[in-house]
Amino acid sequence: MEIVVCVKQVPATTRVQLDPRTRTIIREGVELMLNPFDAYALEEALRLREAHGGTVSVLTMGIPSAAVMLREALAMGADQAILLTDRRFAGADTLATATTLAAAIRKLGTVDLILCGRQAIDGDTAQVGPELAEKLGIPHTTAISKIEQVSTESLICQKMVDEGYARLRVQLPALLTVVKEINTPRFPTLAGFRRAQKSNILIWKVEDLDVDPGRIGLEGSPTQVIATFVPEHDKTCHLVEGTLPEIAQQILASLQKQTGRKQHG
Amino acid sequence: MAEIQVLPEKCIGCRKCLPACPYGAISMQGRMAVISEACVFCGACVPTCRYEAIELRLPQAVQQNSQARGIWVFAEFFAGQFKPVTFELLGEARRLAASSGERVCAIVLGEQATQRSQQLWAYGADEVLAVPLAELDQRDELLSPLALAQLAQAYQPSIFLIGGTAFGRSIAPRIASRLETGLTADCTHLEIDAQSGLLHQTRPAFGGNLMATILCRNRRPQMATVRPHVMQPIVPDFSRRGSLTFAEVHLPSNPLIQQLALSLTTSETLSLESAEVVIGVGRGIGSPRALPLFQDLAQALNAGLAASRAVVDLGWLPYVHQVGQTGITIAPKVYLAFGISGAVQHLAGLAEGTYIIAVNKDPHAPIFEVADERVVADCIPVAEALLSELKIEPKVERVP
Repeated sequence: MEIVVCVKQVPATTRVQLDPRTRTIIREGVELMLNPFDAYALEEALRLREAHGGTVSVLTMGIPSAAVMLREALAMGADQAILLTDRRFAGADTLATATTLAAAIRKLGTVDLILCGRQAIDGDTAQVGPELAEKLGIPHTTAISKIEQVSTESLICQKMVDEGYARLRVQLPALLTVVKEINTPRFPTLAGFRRAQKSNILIWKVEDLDVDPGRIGLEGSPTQVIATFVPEHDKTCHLVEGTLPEIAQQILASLQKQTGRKQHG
Repeated sequence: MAEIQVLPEKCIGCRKCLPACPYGAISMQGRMAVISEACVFCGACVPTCRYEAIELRLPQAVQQNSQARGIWVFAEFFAGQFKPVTFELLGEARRLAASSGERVCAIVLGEQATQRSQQLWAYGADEVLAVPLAELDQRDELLSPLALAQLAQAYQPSIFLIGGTAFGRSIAPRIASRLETGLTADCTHLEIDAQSGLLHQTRPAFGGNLMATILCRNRRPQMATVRPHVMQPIVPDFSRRGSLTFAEVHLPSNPLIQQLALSLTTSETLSLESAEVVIGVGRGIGSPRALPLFQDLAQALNAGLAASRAVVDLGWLPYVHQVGQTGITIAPKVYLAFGISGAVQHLAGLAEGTYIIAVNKDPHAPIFEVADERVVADCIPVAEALLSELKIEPKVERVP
């Protein structure tokens, strides 16, 4: 089974705090990490390879230092890593990103399964996976919490829907986006890191891909950010006090006021 | 391509732009700011420079697609009814139509949904465009977006809004990709600019720390998803009449995705993403033995039950309840948080504008910084008092 895992390097947002005076993001140094959802995708790919054979390729588009993240993926057990890095890829929105990734996957040749994290924690759009599947002309399904029965033709998986879970059969090749529930990622081993240090990371630029330069990077992005601003958090926090019944009554009154419906009781 | 540069004659080395960069791409080289390759041209730094020393040049707009007209709303249908977000989006579409003079069109897929489609007029649709095919009765992640993309190609709407449900978030990007157009996820504010006629789409970025306004200048439709409860429906007028048009699409005959089973959650785990009120529990509730109390309360208030990551990692509740950066994002009207400290990662899962009532015994809990109301008390007695006010006997024995 030939599996491609799309990964993204994201700012480690654990330290994101706002400077109360300048109202800007305080960031200590440049900390970047593997998008957490992508770690579940990689782990699932490794498990599928262990069960069914084949290879796992990790693919990312990013700045040259994203190679650090790819080494970590190799240390976890990926067979090969590809870094798409070129100044002309920069500023891509989700569509231009999907176009670029699709060109790279076509270059890789036969692929049975593409796994992505459901979303990246910096953009939170959950768009690149489905957009990429469309570009490749293969089916996709999102928020997968379990992969069962895999054959050469199809797989059966469980997905989260708004109302519960759905069980689907999906024809391969296909793209799935996964959620945390699917597994617990392994840690890279020391031996893995040694092997990863020796492995070659393929670096591809615009010229290496069969892609229209007008459809990638900022220029190929139909959406543009025209303004960013810090949301106003000028709300005052009202202290609810009193005896327990009084507190409960005040909470229920607020619920009624905010939702416009009376809480029964 | 785009270019960004720091003008040496204007930069005074004040360092004000450094913390503004969400990607940490700006550093100091001597007494001047330097922008590295990590820059994605988001423009966050530009307004922070008082000396106008940062120059961002975006690619020039090509031509406007002036033929595209109409504001479309996808009407998601499940279990015999339209998802409430459909009516909210129709309400928002009406508001946008008032400023642009365009017509509001609801798009309906499937035989069953088509039968109910006339109620969409009452909620603001001037037109209903329906594809009454039984193949589209189930929410198929391949056929539905294909049908919707074909309709958009044939009718050329200017704006296409899709509810930010799990299904909507799956199919909207597929449609946008097929149409080679832009899509903005989880918009919290939409506005048609009076001068340019362009849709200004505002959404939270970086876990809600920043808001970004996004345009799709040259491609049509301008597509956006919007979470449930973010927009307001109009008061339905069931005497209102519109048009109903049946449209044809061409779908492949062999299904590549087949739904084998659907297991619906019970009422005690009400769909978190659509609940108006959500009760959140954090490690501060003390022990998993306290959970039945909060489940009772959720049921009594017809609320969803959410959990912090800590609670899920401890195995107290399954992952479907996890709200936050590595869980789901919710947009209830009210979030009633018990024993939740308020880590940034958890708050990232709450939509902007949610009314937060927080109960925590720690008066310095970070959640109080974002809450609208705070109760500094033990969680369990407060939850018990709420149940008793609601005249509900707790069904289970609990430890104090």
